[in-house]
Amino acid sequence: MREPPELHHKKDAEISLSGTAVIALLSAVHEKGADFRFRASGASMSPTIRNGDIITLSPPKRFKPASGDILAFRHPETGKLIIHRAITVSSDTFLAKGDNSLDPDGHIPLSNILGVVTRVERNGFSLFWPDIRRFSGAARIYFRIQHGFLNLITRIYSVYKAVRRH
Amino acid sequence: MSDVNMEAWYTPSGDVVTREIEGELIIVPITAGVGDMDDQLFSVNESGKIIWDTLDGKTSLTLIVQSLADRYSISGEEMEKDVRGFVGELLRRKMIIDARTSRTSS
Repeated sequence: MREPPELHHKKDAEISLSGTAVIALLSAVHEKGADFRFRASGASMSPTIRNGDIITLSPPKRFKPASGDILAFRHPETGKLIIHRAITVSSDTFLAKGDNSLDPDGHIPLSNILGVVTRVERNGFSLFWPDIRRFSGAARIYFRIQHGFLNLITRIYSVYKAVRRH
Repeated sequence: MSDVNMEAWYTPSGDVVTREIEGELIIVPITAGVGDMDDQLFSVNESGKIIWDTLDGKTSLTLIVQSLADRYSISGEEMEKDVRGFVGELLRRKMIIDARTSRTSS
C-alpha cells in the first residue's frame, strides 16, 4: 500500500469501458432488479436514440418482448452490446435492426436480451417514451407507428441519395 | 465526513454493485431503483481495493487496521488515518453499513 486509498467519482464521459465491461455492470445491476442508466454511443438508432443520449435499460425479466421494442442484447457472433429495435419476435429469437441501419442484425436468441429501453434523455430532458411495462398495448402501438414512420423516412432518404448519385 | 466507528463491523451495502473490470474495482450504487453509470460510477485505487476486500461484516475496523499495518509494515497510526478517511468516504456515500447495526434494526 504505497498510495493512500482513494474513491474516484467518475463521470461516464471520463471513462472508456469496453462493451464487455458495460455488459458486466448492466447485468449486475439488473440482477438486483434495478434499472441501468448510461450514455449511448453510435448513430444506428438515430434519430430515436442519438449519440450521447442517456438511456435507461430495464431488466428483461419484467416483460415479454414484442416487435417495436428497443432492446439491448449481446450479439451472438461479436459478443458486442447492441441496442436496436425488434422487428419481429418468434418463440425463441427476434429479428433486430437499427432505425438508421439498412440491414438487420439477423435473428438473435431471446436469451441474449440484456434489457429494454424504457427512458431516453437528451440535453437534460426526457423524451416522450411510453412505459411498455405499464402501458404495454398503447406503448407498442406507438412504437410500431414511430418505427414505420422512421423506416419510411430512411428508405425515402436512401432513394434520394441514390438518385442524386446518378 | 461521516463518523467512523473503529469498533463497527462494516460490510458493503446491499444497494451497491461491484465488479472488477480490467484490474479496477468499479462500484455502482443503486439509488431509487437505478444503477446510474452516467452519474454515479466510482472506482477505487489498489489501496482502496485492499481495504474494501477486508470489509466482511465480521471484523472490527480496529482489527482490520492492525492486520493491514502488520501486513504492509506501516505504522498503526498512519494506517488508521488512511482507513478512517477511506471508510468515512464510503459511509458518506452509503456504500457500506455496520453489519451489527443493520442486523439489529431489521
